[in-house]
Amino acid sequence: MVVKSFIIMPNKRYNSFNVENFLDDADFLRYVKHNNSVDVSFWDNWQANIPENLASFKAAKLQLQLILSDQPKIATSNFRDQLLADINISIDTIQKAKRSKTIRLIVTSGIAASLFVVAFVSWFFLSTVTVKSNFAENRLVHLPDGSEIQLNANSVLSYARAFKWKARREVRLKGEAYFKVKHININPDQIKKGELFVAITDGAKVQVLGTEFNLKDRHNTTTIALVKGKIQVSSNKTGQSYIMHPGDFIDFNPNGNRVKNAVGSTNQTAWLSGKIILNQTTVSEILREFEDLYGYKVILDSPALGNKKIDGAISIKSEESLLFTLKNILNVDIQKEGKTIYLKNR
Amino acid sequence: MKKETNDFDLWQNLLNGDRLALNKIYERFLSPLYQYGMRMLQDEDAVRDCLHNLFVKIWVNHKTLKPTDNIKYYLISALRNSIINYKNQENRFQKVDIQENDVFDLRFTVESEYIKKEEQNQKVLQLSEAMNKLTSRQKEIIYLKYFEEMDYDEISKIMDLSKKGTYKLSARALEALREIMNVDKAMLLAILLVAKR
Repeated sequence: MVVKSFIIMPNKRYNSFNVENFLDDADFLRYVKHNNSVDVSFWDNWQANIPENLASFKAAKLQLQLILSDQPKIATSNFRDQLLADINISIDTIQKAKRSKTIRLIVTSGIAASLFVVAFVSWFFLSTVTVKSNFAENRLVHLPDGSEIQLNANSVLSYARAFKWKARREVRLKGEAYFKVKHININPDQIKKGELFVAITDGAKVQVLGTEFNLKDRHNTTTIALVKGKIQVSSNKTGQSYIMHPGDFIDFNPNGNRVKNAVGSTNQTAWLSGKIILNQTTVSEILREFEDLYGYKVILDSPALGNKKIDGAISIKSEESLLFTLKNILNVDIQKEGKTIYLKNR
Repeated sequence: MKKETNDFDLWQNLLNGDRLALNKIYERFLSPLYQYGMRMLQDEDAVRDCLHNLFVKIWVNHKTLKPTDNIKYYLISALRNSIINYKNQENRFQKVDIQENDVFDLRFTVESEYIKKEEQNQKVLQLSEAMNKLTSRQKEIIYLKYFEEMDYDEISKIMDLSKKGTYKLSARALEALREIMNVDKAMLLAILLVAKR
Protein backbone atom coordinates (compact mmCIF):
# COMPACT_ATOMS: atom_id res chain seq x y z
CA MET A 1 0.00 0.00 0.00
CA VAL A 2 1.39 3.33 -1.00
CA VAL A 3 1.04 6.18 1.48
CA LYS A 4 0.92 9.67 0.11
CA SER A 5 3.92 11.73 1.18
CA PHE A 6 3.55 15.30 2.41
CA ILE A 7 3.98 18.03 -0.16
CA ILE A 8 5.95 20.11 2.34
CA MET A 9 9.03 17.90 1.97
CA PRO A 10 11.20 18.60 -1.04
CA ASN A 11 11.02 15.99 -3.73
CA LYS A 12 14.20 14.13 -2.99
CA ARG A 13 15.16 10.64 -3.97
CA TYR A 14 15.45 9.40 -0.43
CA ASN A 15 14.88 5.83 -1.55
CA SER A 16 18.27 5.78 -3.20
CA PHE A 17 20.15 7.45 -0.36
CA ASN A 18 23.04 5.70 1.31
CA VAL A 19 24.29 6.51 4.80
CA GLU A 20 26.58 9.31 3.60
CA ASN A 21 23.75 10.89 1.64
CA PHE A 22 21.51 10.92 4.69
CA LEU A 23 24.23 12.43 6.85
CA ASP A 24 24.66 15.20 4.30
CA ASP A 25 21.00 16.06 4.12
CA ALA A 26 19.88 19.15 6.00
CA ASP A 27 16.26 18.02 6.24
CA PHE A 28 17.29 14.65 7.63
CA LEU A 29 19.46 16.44 10.19
CA ARG A 30 16.58 18.64 11.23
CA TYR A 31 14.37 15.60 11.66
CA VAL A 32 16.83 13.73 13.88
CA LYS A 33 17.75 16.79 15.85
CA HIS A 34 14.45 18.53 16.50
CA ASN A 35 11.79 15.87 15.99
CA ASN A 36 9.19 18.29 14.67
CA SER A 37 5.80 16.69 14.21
CA VAL A 38 5.81 17.48 10.50
CA ASP A 39 9.19 15.82 10.01
CA VAL A 40 8.27 12.87 12.18
CA SER A 41 5.07 12.27 10.23
CA PHE A 42 6.95 12.41 6.96
CA TRP A 43 9.65 9.98 8.00
CA ASP A 44 7.27 7.60 9.74
CA ASN A 45 5.31 7.42 6.51
CA TRP A 46 8.45 6.98 4.48
CA GLN A 47 9.55 4.10 6.69
CA ALA A 48 6.11 2.52 6.57
CA ASN A 49 6.59 1.94 2.86
CA ILE A 50 9.53 -0.31 3.73
CA PRO A 51 12.06 1.20 1.35
CA GLU A 52 15.07 -0.86 0.29
CA ASN A 53 17.53 1.42 2.04
CA LEU A 54 15.78 1.31 5.39
CA ALA A 55 18.93 -0.10 6.99
CA SER A 56 20.97 2.85 5.72
CA PHE A 57 18.37 5.21 7.12
CA LYS A 58 18.55 3.58 10.53
CA ALA A 59 22.33 3.47 10.55
CA ALA A 60 22.55 7.13 9.60
CA LYS A 61 20.04 8.08 12.29
CA LEU A 62 22.02 6.15 14.88
CA GLN A 63 25.29 7.75 13.87
CA LEU A 64 23.75 11.17 13.91
CA GLN A 65 22.29 10.66 17.36
CA LEU A 66 25.69 9.64 18.60
CA ILE A 67 27.34 12.65 17.01
CA LEU A 68 24.79 14.92 18.64
CA SER A 69 25.01 13.28 22.05
CA ASP A 70 27.42 15.77 23.60
CA GLN A 71 25.98 17.89 26.37
CA PRO A 72 25.67 21.57 25.49
CA LYS A 73 27.88 24.09 27.24
CA ILE A 74 25.72 26.71 28.85
CA ALA A 75 26.78 30.03 30.29
CA THR A 76 25.51 30.80 33.78
CA SER A 77 23.22 33.81 34.07
CA ASN A 78 25.90 35.38 36.25
CA PHE A 79 28.39 35.06 33.41
CA ARG A 80 25.92 36.49 30.89
CA ASP A 81 25.00 39.49 33.00
CA GLN A 82 28.53 40.25 34.12
CA LEU A 83 29.92 40.07 30.60
CA LEU A 84 27.23 42.32 29.16
CA ALA A 85 27.89 44.82 31.94
CA ASP A 86 31.64 44.74 31.22
CA ILE A 87 31.04 45.21 27.52
CA ASN A 88 28.87 48.24 28.13
CA ILE A 89 31.31 49.73 30.61
CA SER A 90 34.14 49.39 28.09
CA ILE A 91 32.08 50.98 25.36
CA ASP A 92 31.06 53.86 27.64
CA THR A 93 34.67 54.40 28.61
CA ILE A 94 35.78 54.48 24.99
CA GLN A 95 33.01 56.84 23.97
CA LYS A 96 33.66 59.19 26.84
CA ALA A 97 37.34 59.27 26.06
CA LYS A 98 36.73 60.01 22.41
CA ARG A 99 34.44 62.87 23.23
CA SER A 100 36.74 64.48 25.75
CA LYS A 101 38.62 67.25 24.06
CA THR A 102 40.62 68.78 26.89
CA ILE A 103 43.99 67.42 27.77
CA ARG A 104 44.92 68.18 31.32
CA LEU A 105 47.53 67.07 33.72
CA ILE A 106 45.95 64.88 36.31
CA VAL A 107 47.45 63.08 39.18
CA THR A 108 46.10 59.58 39.53
CA SER A 109 44.08 58.82 42.58
CA GLY A 110 46.08 56.52 44.66
CA ILE A 111 45.81 54.84 47.88
CA ALA A 112 48.87 54.88 49.97
CA ALA A 113 49.24 53.48 53.31
CA SER A 114 52.23 54.25 55.24
CA LEU A 115 53.61 51.48 57.17
CA PHE A 116 56.07 51.60 59.87
CA VAL A 117 59.50 51.60 58.48
CA VAL A 118 61.45 48.95 60.17
CA ALA A 119 62.89 46.91 57.38
CA PHE A 120 66.45 46.04 57.93
CA VAL A 121 67.69 43.49 55.48
CA SER A 122 70.15 42.20 58.04
CA TRP A 123 67.14 41.17 60.05
CA PHE A 124 66.65 38.08 58.08
CA PHE A 125 69.12 35.67 59.51
CA LEU A 126 66.91 32.74 58.97
CA SER A 127 66.18 31.56 55.45
CA THR A 128 63.37 33.28 53.65
CA VAL A 129 60.54 31.95 51.56
CA THR A 130 60.19 34.02 48.42
CA VAL A 131 57.16 33.99 46.17
CA LYS A 132 57.37 35.81 42.87
CA SER A 133 54.65 36.55 40.37
CA ASN A 134 55.57 36.98 36.73
CA PHE A 135 54.24 39.55 34.39
CA ALA A 136 50.56 38.94 33.67
CA GLU A 137 50.34 36.50 36.54
CA ASN A 138 48.51 36.71 39.85
CA ARG A 139 49.43 34.40 42.70
CA LEU A 140 47.68 33.44 45.89
CA VAL A 141 49.91 32.84 48.91
CA HIS A 142 48.75 31.07 52.06
CA LEU A 143 50.79 31.97 55.08
CA PRO A 144 51.37 29.49 57.89
CA ASP A 145 49.08 31.47 60.19
CA GLY A 146 46.12 31.20 57.85
CA SER A 147 46.50 34.66 56.34
CA GLU A 148 46.03 34.97 52.61
CA ILE A 149 47.90 37.27 50.26
CA GLN A 150 46.90 37.79 46.67
CA LEU A 151 49.90 38.95 44.68
CA ASN A 152 49.38 41.11 41.63
CA ALA A 153 51.61 40.64 38.60
CA ASN A 154 55.32 41.41 38.74
CA SER A 155 55.54 41.34 42.52
CA VAL A 156 57.61 39.62 45.13
CA LEU A 157 56.61 38.47 48.60
CA SER A 158 59.02 37.08 51.14
CA TYR A 159 58.83 35.95 54.74
CA ALA A 160 60.89 34.00 57.24
CA ARG A 161 60.65 30.32 56.80
CA ALA A 162 59.97 29.98 60.54
CA PHE A 163 57.05 32.36 60.23
CA LYS A 164 54.77 30.39 62.40
CA TRP A 165 56.89 30.86 65.52
CA LYS A 166 56.43 33.33 68.36
CA ALA A 167 58.21 36.62 67.49
CA ARG A 168 56.21 38.33 64.75
CA ARG A 169 54.30 37.67 61.60
CA GLU A 170 56.26 39.64 59.11
CA VAL A 171 56.34 39.74 55.32
CA ARG A 172 58.10 41.88 52.75
CA LEU A 173 56.55 43.06 49.55
CA LYS A 174 57.79 44.53 46.30
CA GLY A 175 54.99 45.44 43.92
CA GLU A 176 51.34 45.02 44.84
CA ALA A 177 49.27 42.62 46.91
CA TYR A 178 45.95 42.34 48.66
CA PHE A 179 46.20 41.12 52.24
CA LYS A 180 43.67 39.13 54.26
CA VAL A 181 45.31 38.89 57.65
CA LYS A 182 44.13 36.36 60.18
CA HIS A 183 43.22 37.82 63.53
CA ILE A 184 44.83 35.87 66.36
CA ASN A 185 44.83 38.39 69.16
CA ILE A 186 42.78 37.31 72.17
CA ASN A 187 43.06 40.21 74.58
CA PRO A 188 43.00 43.62 72.84
CA ASP A 189 44.35 45.25 75.97
CA GLN A 190 47.35 43.03 75.93
CA ILE A 191 48.69 42.45 72.46
CA LYS A 192 51.36 39.82 72.36
CA LYS A 193 54.22 40.19 69.91
CA GLY A 194 53.30 37.35 67.60
CA GLU A 195 49.74 38.57 67.28
CA LEU A 196 50.79 41.61 65.35
CA PHE A 197 51.10 41.21 61.56
CA VAL A 198 53.60 43.39 59.79
CA ALA A 199 53.90 44.05 56.05
CA ILE A 200 56.98 45.93 54.88
CA THR A 201 57.77 47.62 51.59
CA ASP A 202 60.55 49.98 50.55
CA GLY A 203 58.51 53.01 51.48
CA ALA A 204 56.43 51.99 54.44
CA LYS A 205 55.47 49.51 57.09
CA VAL A 206 51.97 48.38 57.99
CA GLN A 207 51.03 46.87 61.33
CA VAL A 208 47.72 45.13 61.81
CA LEU A 209 45.99 42.70 64.08
CA GLY A 210 43.59 41.19 61.58
CA THR A 211 42.26 43.02 58.61
CA GLU A 212 42.07 43.38 54.81
CA PHE A 213 44.05 45.94 52.90
CA ASN A 214 45.70 46.62 49.56
CA LEU A 215 49.38 47.49 49.57
CA LYS A 216 51.20 48.82 46.53
CA ASP A 217 54.80 49.89 46.23
CA ARG A 218 56.06 50.73 42.77
CA HIS A 219 58.32 53.44 41.36
CA ASN A 220 59.20 54.65 44.86
CA THR A 221 55.61 55.43 45.69
CA THR A 222 53.72 53.50 48.32
CA THR A 223 49.96 53.28 48.37
CA ILE A 224 47.82 51.67 51.02
CA ALA A 225 44.08 51.16 50.94
CA LEU A 226 42.29 49.83 53.97
CA VAL A 227 39.21 47.70 53.43
CA LYS A 228 38.52 46.24 56.86
CA GLY A 229 39.77 46.66 60.39
CA LYS A 230 42.17 49.20 61.72
CA ILE A 231 45.81 49.55 60.90
CA GLN A 232 48.80 51.61 61.83
CA VAL A 233 51.04 52.77 59.10
CA SER A 234 54.37 54.52 59.17
CA SER A 235 56.52 56.09 56.53
CA ASN A 236 59.96 54.49 56.38
CA LYS A 237 61.65 57.74 55.46
CA THR A 238 60.03 60.23 57.77
CA GLY A 239 59.10 57.90 60.61
CA GLN A 240 55.71 59.59 60.75
CA SER A 241 52.92 57.21 61.63
CA TYR A 242 49.21 57.25 60.89
CA ILE A 243 46.17 55.31 61.97
CA MET A 244 43.86 54.18 59.21
CA HIS A 245 40.20 53.22 59.27
CA PRO A 246 38.21 51.26 56.69
CA GLY A 247 37.83 53.21 53.49
CA ASP A 248 40.99 55.20 54.19
CA PHE A 249 43.98 55.25 51.93
CA ILE A 250 47.36 56.84 52.11
CA ASP A 251 49.80 57.76 49.41
CA PHE A 252 53.48 58.27 50.16
CA ASN A 253 55.67 60.05 47.63
CA PRO A 254 59.34 59.11 47.16
CA ASN A 255 60.28 61.43 50.02
CA GLY A 256 58.08 59.50 52.36
CA ASN A 257 55.64 62.33 52.80
CA ARG A 258 51.95 61.85 52.69
CA VAL A 259 50.17 63.10 49.60
CA LYS A 260 46.83 64.75 50.14
CA ASN A 261 43.97 63.48 48.02
CA ALA A 262 40.68 61.67 48.36
CA VAL A 263 39.70 58.59 46.42
CA GLY A 264 37.78 55.54 47.61
CA SER A 265 39.35 52.23 48.57
CA THR A 266 37.30 50.22 46.14
CA ASN A 267 39.30 51.55 43.21
CA GLN A 268 42.56 50.20 44.52
CA THR A 269 41.30 46.66 44.84
CA ALA A 270 39.64 46.54 41.44
CA TRP A 271 42.65 44.58 40.14
CA LEU A 272 41.41 41.59 42.13
CA SER A 273 38.55 41.35 39.65
CA GLY A 274 40.76 42.07 36.68
CA LYS A 275 39.95 45.73 36.23
CA ILE A 276 41.29 49.16 36.96
CA ILE A 277 38.91 51.95 37.82
CA LEU A 278 39.77 55.20 36.16
CA ASN A 279 38.92 58.46 37.81
CA GLN A 280 40.51 61.25 35.84
CA THR A 281 43.44 58.88 35.42
CA THR A 282 46.03 59.91 32.86
CA VAL A 283 46.98 57.69 29.98
CA SER A 284 50.55 57.71 31.29
CA GLU A 285 49.37 56.20 34.57
CA ILE A 286 47.43 53.53 32.73
CA LEU A 287 50.39 52.71 30.53
CA ARG A 288 52.71 52.55 33.50
CA GLU A 289 50.36 50.12 35.21
CA PHE A 290 50.36 48.09 32.03
CA GLU A 291 54.15 48.12 31.95
CA ASP A 292 54.30 47.02 35.59
CA LEU A 293 51.90 44.17 35.08
CA TYR A 294 52.89 42.92 31.67
CA GLY A 295 56.55 43.80 31.40
CA TYR A 296 56.43 45.91 28.27
CA LYS A 297 57.86 49.32 27.52
CA VAL A 298 55.23 51.50 25.87
CA ILE A 299 56.19 54.40 23.63
CA LEU A 300 53.68 57.00 22.55
CA ASP A 301 53.81 58.73 19.22
CA SER A 302 52.85 62.02 20.79
CA PRO A 303 53.74 62.51 24.46
CA ALA A 304 50.77 64.84 24.86
CA LEU A 305 48.58 61.78 24.53
CA GLY A 306 49.93 60.66 27.87
CA ASN A 307 48.26 63.58 29.59
CA LYS A 308 44.81 62.68 28.43
CA LYS A 309 42.42 61.94 31.28
CA ILE A 310 40.15 58.94 31.28
CA ASP A 311 37.11 58.07 33.38
CA GLY A 312 35.59 54.64 33.54
CA ALA A 313 36.92 51.14 33.89
CA ILE A 314 39.11 48.95 31.77
CA SER A 315 39.82 45.28 31.91
CA ILE A 316 43.39 44.25 32.67
CA LYS A 317 42.64 40.55 32.58
CA SER A 318 44.55 39.93 29.43
CA GLU A 319 47.02 42.16 27.68
CA GLU A 320 44.99 41.69 24.55
CA SER A 321 41.85 43.24 25.96
CA LEU A 322 43.79 46.02 27.65
CA LEU A 323 45.63 46.96 24.47
CA PHE A 324 42.46 46.68 22.49
CA THR A 325 40.64 49.09 24.80
CA LEU A 326 43.54 51.54 24.76
CA LYS A 327 43.70 51.34 21.01
CA ASN A 328 40.09 52.48 20.84
CA ILE A 329 40.24 55.11 23.56
CA LEU A 330 43.30 56.78 22.08
CA ASN A 331 42.60 56.03 18.45
CA VAL A 332 46.05 54.61 17.84
CA ASP A 333 47.57 51.67 16.07
CA ILE A 334 49.61 49.19 18.01
CA GLN A 335 52.98 47.97 16.86
CA LYS A 336 54.86 45.41 18.86
CA GLU A 337 58.56 44.78 18.63
CA GLY A 338 59.73 42.28 21.18
CA LYS A 339 58.99 43.78 24.57
CA THR A 340 58.33 47.27 23.25
CA ILE A 341 54.98 48.57 22.15
CA TYR A 342 54.58 51.63 19.99
CA LEU A 343 51.28 53.48 20.01
CA LYS A 344 51.03 55.41 16.79
CA ASN A 345 48.42 58.02 16.09
CA ARG A 346 45.99 57.09 13.36
CA MET B 1 2.21 39.72 20.93
CA LYS B 2 5.34 41.49 19.80
CA LYS B 3 6.94 39.98 16.76
CA GLU B 4 10.63 39.28 17.08
CA THR B 5 12.85 41.40 14.87
CA ASN B 6 14.43 39.46 12.06
CA ASP B 7 18.20 39.26 11.64
CA PHE B 8 18.43 41.77 8.83
CA ASP B 9 16.46 44.50 10.60
CA LEU B 10 18.16 43.92 13.93
CA TRP B 11 21.58 44.19 12.33
CA GLN B 12 20.50 47.26 10.41
CA ASN B 13 19.48 48.92 13.69
CA LEU B 14 22.95 48.24 14.96
CA LEU B 15 24.49 49.78 11.87
CA ASN B 16 22.34 52.82 12.41
CA GLY B 17 23.82 53.29 15.85
CA ASP B 18 21.15 51.78 18.07
CA ARG B 19 22.95 50.73 21.26
CA LEU B 20 19.98 48.62 22.38
CA ALA B 21 20.33 46.57 19.20
CA LEU B 22 23.76 45.53 20.40
CA ASN B 23 22.27 44.32 23.67
CA LYS B 24 19.54 42.51 21.78
CA ILE B 25 22.08 40.80 19.55
CA TYR B 26 24.02 39.79 22.64
CA GLU B 27 20.92 38.29 24.28
CA ARG B 28 19.99 36.41 21.18
CA PHE B 29 23.34 35.00 20.19
CA LEU B 30 25.40 34.63 23.33
CA SER B 31 24.47 30.95 23.78
CA PRO B 32 25.88 29.63 20.50
CA LEU B 33 28.87 31.96 20.79
CA TYR B 34 29.63 30.86 24.33
CA GLN B 35 29.31 27.21 23.37
CA TYR B 36 31.54 27.55 20.34
CA GLY B 37 34.06 29.56 22.31
CA MET B 38 34.23 27.04 25.16
CA ARG B 39 34.76 24.21 22.72
CA MET B 40 37.57 26.10 21.06
CA LEU B 41 39.28 27.42 24.17
CA GLN B 42 38.06 25.29 27.12
CA ASP B 43 38.84 28.21 29.44
CA GLU B 44 35.93 30.38 30.52
CA ASP B 45 38.11 33.40 31.30
CA ALA B 46 39.61 33.27 27.82
CA VAL B 47 36.17 32.95 26.30
CA ARG B 48 34.97 35.91 28.30
CA ASP B 49 37.85 38.03 27.02
CA CYS B 50 37.28 37.07 23.40
CA LEU B 51 33.55 37.69 23.63
CA HIS B 52 34.16 41.01 25.35
CA ASN B 53 36.52 42.13 22.61
CA LEU B 54 34.18 40.87 19.91
CA PHE B 55 31.20 42.91 21.04
CA VAL B 56 33.18 46.02 21.85
CA LYS B 57 34.80 45.81 18.43
CA ILE B 58 31.44 45.43 16.72
CA TRP B 59 30.14 48.54 18.40
CA VAL B 60 33.27 50.57 17.75
CA ASN B 61 33.09 49.67 14.07
CA HIS B 62 29.33 49.64 13.66
CA LYS B 63 29.32 52.41 11.10
CA THR B 64 31.52 50.47 8.70
CA LEU B 65 29.90 47.05 8.96
CA LYS B 66 27.97 45.57 6.05
CA PRO B 67 24.30 44.56 6.27
CA THR B 68 23.60 40.86 6.74
CA ASP B 69 20.64 38.57 7.17
CA ASN B 70 22.61 35.91 8.99
CA ILE B 71 23.93 37.37 12.21
CA LYS B 72 24.94 34.05 13.78
CA TYR B 73 27.17 33.19 10.87
CA TYR B 74 28.81 36.61 11.01
CA LEU B 75 29.37 36.44 14.77
CA ILE B 76 30.82 32.94 14.81
CA SER B 77 33.12 33.91 12.00
CA ALA B 78 34.26 37.02 13.86
CA LEU B 79 34.61 35.11 17.12
CA ARG B 80 36.82 32.56 15.45
CA ASN B 81 39.16 35.34 14.33
CA SER B 82 39.13 36.79 17.80
CA ILE B 83 40.05 33.38 19.22
CA ILE B 84 42.90 32.91 16.76
CA ASN B 85 44.31 36.31 17.66
CA TYR B 86 43.99 35.43 21.31
CA LYS B 87 45.84 32.14 20.81
CA ASN B 88 48.59 33.85 18.83
CA GLN B 89 49.02 36.26 21.70
CA GLU B 90 49.17 33.55 24.32
CA ASN B 91 51.60 31.41 22.37
CA ARG B 92 53.90 34.21 21.54
CA PHE B 93 56.42 33.47 24.24
CA GLN B 94 55.89 29.77 24.35
CA LYS B 95 57.21 29.18 20.85
CA VAL B 96 54.76 26.36 20.36
CA ASP B 97 53.25 25.48 17.05
CA ILE B 98 49.66 26.64 17.36
CA GLN B 99 48.21 23.99 15.11
CA GLU B 100 49.56 21.14 17.19
CA ASN B 101 48.13 22.42 20.42
CA ASP B 102 44.64 23.06 19.17
CA VAL B 103 41.91 21.29 21.03
CA PHE B 104 38.27 21.29 20.07
CA ASP B 105 36.08 19.98 22.83
CA LEU B 106 33.54 17.62 21.34
CA ARG B 107 32.75 14.15 22.57
CA PHE B 108 30.22 11.40 22.63
CA THR B 109 28.28 11.48 25.84
CA VAL B 110 26.95 8.13 26.83
CA GLU B 111 25.23 7.38 30.09
CA SER B 112 27.11 4.48 31.57
CA GLU B 113 24.95 4.17 34.67
CA TYR B 114 22.29 2.36 32.68
CA ILE B 115 24.62 -0.33 31.47
CA LYS B 116 25.00 -3.02 34.08
CA LYS B 117 27.39 -5.52 32.56
CA GLU B 118 31.06 -4.89 33.17
CA GLU B 119 32.04 -5.75 29.61
CA GLN B 120 29.59 -3.31 28.20
CA ASN B 121 30.82 -0.62 30.55
CA GLN B 122 34.25 -1.02 29.01
CA LYS B 123 32.89 -0.46 25.54
CA VAL B 124 30.89 2.51 26.66
CA LEU B 125 33.99 4.13 28.06
CA GLN B 126 35.84 3.40 24.84
CA LEU B 127 33.09 5.08 22.93
CA SER B 128 33.18 8.18 25.11
CA GLU B 129 36.84 8.58 24.32
CA ALA B 130 36.50 7.58 20.69
CA MET B 131 35.72 11.06 19.43
CA ASN B 132 39.22 12.03 20.51
CA LYS B 133 40.60 10.06 17.58
CA LEU B 134 39.48 12.91 15.38
CA THR B 135 41.63 15.98 14.88
CA SER B 136 40.40 19.26 16.29
CA ARG B 137 39.62 20.53 12.77
CA GLN B 138 37.56 17.43 12.09
CA LYS B 139 35.64 17.89 15.31
CA GLU B 140 35.12 21.56 14.56
CA ILE B 141 33.62 20.87 11.18
CA ILE B 142 31.32 18.25 12.69
CA TYR B 143 30.24 20.75 15.30
CA LEU B 144 29.54 23.54 12.80
CA LYS B 145 27.73 21.21 10.46
CA TYR B 146 25.60 19.24 12.90
CA PHE B 147 25.28 21.43 15.96
CA GLU B 148 25.11 24.82 14.28
CA GLU B 149 23.54 23.43 11.11
CA MET B 150 25.75 25.46 8.81
CA ASP B 151 26.15 24.64 5.15
CA TYR B 152 29.43 23.93 3.39
CA ASP B 153 29.57 27.42 1.99
CA GLU B 154 29.42 29.00 5.42
CA ILE B 155 31.78 26.45 6.96
CA SER B 156 34.39 26.91 4.25
CA LYS B 157 34.40 30.67 4.88
CA ILE B 158 34.47 30.36 8.65
CA MET B 159 37.26 27.80 8.69
CA ASP B 160 39.11 29.49 5.88
CA LEU B 161 39.07 26.46 3.61
CA SER B 162 38.36 26.03 -0.07
CA LYS B 163 35.00 24.52 -0.97
CA LYS B 164 36.81 21.36 -2.00
CA GLY B 165 38.84 21.35 1.21
CA THR B 166 35.66 21.59 3.23
CA TYR B 167 34.11 18.58 1.52
CA LYS B 168 37.29 16.61 2.03
CA LEU B 169 37.56 17.49 5.68
CA SER B 170 33.95 16.61 6.33
CA ALA B 171 34.19 13.30 4.49
CA ARG B 172 37.33 12.33 6.37
CA ALA B 173 35.77 13.25 9.70
CA LEU B 174 32.68 11.18 9.04
CA GLU B 175 34.81 8.31 7.82
CA ALA B 176 36.82 8.37 11.02
CA LEU B 177 33.62 8.42 13.02
CA ARG B 178 32.20 5.54 11.07
CA GLU B 179 35.20 3.43 11.90
CA ILE B 180 34.64 4.15 15.55
CA MET B 181 30.96 3.43 15.33
CA ASN B 182 31.39 0.13 13.51
CA VAL B 183 32.52 -1.33 16.82
CA ASP B 184 29.18 -2.71 17.87
CA LYS B 185 26.00 -1.47 16.24
CA ALA B 186 23.60 -3.32 18.47
CA MET B 187 25.40 -1.98 21.47
CA LEU B 188 25.20 1.57 20.13
CA LEU B 189 21.51 1.24 19.65
CA ALA B 190 21.04 -0.05 23.15
CA ILE B 191 23.04 2.81 24.62
CA LEU B 192 21.19 5.49 22.72
CA LEU B 193 17.78 4.09 23.44
CA VAL B 194 18.51 3.88 27.12
CA ALA B 195 20.25 7.22 27.50
CA LYS B 196 17.27 9.40 26.76
CA ARG B 197 17.65 13.11 27.19
